Amino acid sequence: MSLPTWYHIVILPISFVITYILSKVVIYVCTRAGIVAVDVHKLNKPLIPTLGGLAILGGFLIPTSLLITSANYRLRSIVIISTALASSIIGLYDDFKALKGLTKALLTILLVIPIIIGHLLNPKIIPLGRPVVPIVGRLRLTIIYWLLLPLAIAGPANVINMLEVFNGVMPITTSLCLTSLTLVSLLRGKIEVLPFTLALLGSLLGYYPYNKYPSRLFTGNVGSLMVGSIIGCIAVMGGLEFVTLIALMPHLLNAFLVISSVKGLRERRTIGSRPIVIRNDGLLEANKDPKAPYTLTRLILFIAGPLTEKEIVTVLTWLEVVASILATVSGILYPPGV
Amino acid sequence: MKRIAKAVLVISCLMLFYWSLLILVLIIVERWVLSLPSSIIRSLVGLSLYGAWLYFVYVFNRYIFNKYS
Repeated sequence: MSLPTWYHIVILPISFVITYILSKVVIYVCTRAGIVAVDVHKLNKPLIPTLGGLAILGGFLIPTSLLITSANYRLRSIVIISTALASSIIGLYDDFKALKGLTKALLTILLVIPIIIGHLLNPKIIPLGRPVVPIVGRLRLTIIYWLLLPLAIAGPANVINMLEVFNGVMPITTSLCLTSLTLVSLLRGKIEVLPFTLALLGSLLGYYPYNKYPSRLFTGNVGSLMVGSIIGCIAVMGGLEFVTLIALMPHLLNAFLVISSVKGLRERRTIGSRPIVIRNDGLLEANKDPKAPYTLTRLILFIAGPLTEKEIVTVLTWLEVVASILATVSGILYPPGV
Repeated sequence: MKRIAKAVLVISCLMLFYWSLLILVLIIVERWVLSLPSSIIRSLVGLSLYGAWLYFVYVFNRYIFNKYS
């Protein structure tokens, strides 16, 4: 039995309000505790409280944990909550102890375990295999699907984490991604993951006022890894793998550029040369050092010339709008009845 | 504004290109490759096509990057 319509209507504003309030609490607690990070793209290098991801987590967990009381949603909720909590723990550890790039990637691969257990317990509630793609319909992937499955959670978690470098980028781009996932779910009539997309969307929208330029609260790895892993989980549980892949194209492009230029998975702090430099007038420009890593932002700055941080965020937002439109079109092109 | 629009346009065209190419590869694999007789040949050819798409994305990305840098 599906959830009543009123639940789908109230979940977004409830998540919004919870995250909005929790963000204020996180700012207060982290400022008092000295849990701050440098805003490197500003001339005066202000110290900004971090771990805003905890507010997003709270705003997401509280309404979705109520779904455990529904027999039809119990398993889905447990799987997605377990994934969210596990990824938050990895992110939190990374925030305090700085995990190596490869270690972080390997740990995030383990985040697929809850979804596999959920599938083994009830394959009808959590079906895996044979992803749907536009025009063609269901792919005939068998062994390859299971080999790629760990990347379905680790991939979004890490690529969203990698693009989380400017004020407001993470909440705005992931909100747009979730909007396209919500639209495609509605268009296909597959609304099983709708409560989760709406809960996360509400949380991100509630968090955005604090993270947008100029940021008063940073997300931290706890937030970006967690948001990415939830999106990955939603993609797999809702049969939205292809749509999510397209919706996260700016993130994937960035990750591809970085990994191919630094030749592997390396932690940001271990890469000597920065991709972007800040000028004396406050504008950001692409580092001309050939050893600097390739990133999407560096490419943007090569094309457009020096920009302010706000302008870079505008470009990234528009790119995400385009990717989300392509993702929605992909969903529309699914053959009927699939 | 023009510089922002230029950056958005160039990278959007890139994303559109990769998306179209991926859908083309999917159609070729599902409609032609999977009609090949041998299971091993189907797997090899199919995976090679996906791998070729990925490699093309890698090479083209570097080309675009070097063109603008």
